[in-house]
Amino acid sequence: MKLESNELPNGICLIKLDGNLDLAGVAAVETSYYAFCGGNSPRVLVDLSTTRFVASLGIRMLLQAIKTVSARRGRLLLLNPTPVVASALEISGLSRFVAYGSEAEAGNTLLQSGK
Amino acid sequence: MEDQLTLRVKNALTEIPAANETASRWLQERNVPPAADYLANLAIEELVTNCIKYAYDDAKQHVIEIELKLSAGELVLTVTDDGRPFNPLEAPKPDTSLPVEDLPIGGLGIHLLRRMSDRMEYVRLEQKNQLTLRKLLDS
Repeated sequence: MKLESNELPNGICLIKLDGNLDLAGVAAVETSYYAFCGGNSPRVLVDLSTTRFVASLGIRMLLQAIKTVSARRGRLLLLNPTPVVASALEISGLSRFVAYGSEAEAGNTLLQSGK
Repeated sequence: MEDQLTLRVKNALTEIPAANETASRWLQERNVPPAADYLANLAIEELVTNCIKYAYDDAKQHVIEIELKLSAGELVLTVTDDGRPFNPLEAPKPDTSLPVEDLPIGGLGIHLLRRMSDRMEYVRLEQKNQLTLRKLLDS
C-alpha cells in the first residue's frame, strides 16, 4: 500500500491510496493518513481509484478519519472507488461519503458543503 | 466439472498475504469475476485474522484450512479451524444507517462477508468450525 498526498490549489488535501487496505496495508499508511485529518475544518479528498481491496480494518481506518474530520467541522469524500470497493463501502454505511468524477468537481462539492 | 484449491495456513498473521496471493492467482487464471475474487480475499483476511485473535486458548501452532471450489457457476469457499466454537451467523448485525458519529467502528468483517456472499452456512463438525460461503459467478 502506498500513500501519496498533495494540496490542490483551493487548499483541499488530496490523498491517493494505491494498493490493498488489508492488515499490512493499513499498518503501512494509517499514521500518515490520520495526520492529514487534523486542523480546523479540514477538507480532504481520498482517491480510491487504485485501491484494489478494503478489508474491515481498512473500512475502520477510512471511517475513523471521516469521524475525526467531521468532529472538526470539516468534510472528507472518498473519490472514484472501483465497483467492488464501492460495494464494501456501501455495505459499511459509507456510500454517503463516496463521490465520482474529477478532483475539481469533488473539490467544489467539498468547498460548497462548508458554506 | 469441479476445480479445487486447498490452502493450509498456520495461525500467524504473516501467513495471510501469501494465502491471498495464491487464491487470487488461482481465481484470476480461471477468469473469475472481480467480486468473487474480492470475496475470497475478504474471507481469508477476516476469518483467519479472527481465528488467530480469538479462537485459540493455547500458544500452539494450528492450521486453518481454506478450500476454494469452482463448480456449476459458483465459487464455494470453506474455511475450517480447530478453535473454540464460533458461529458467525449469530454475530449481531451492525446498524450502518446511523449518523456518522454513531457509526460502528468495529464488527464489520462478518457483516461484509454475509452481504458480499450469496449464502453463508456454519457447522460445528468433529470439534472444528466450518464456515462455507457461496458466490454465484454471474452476480
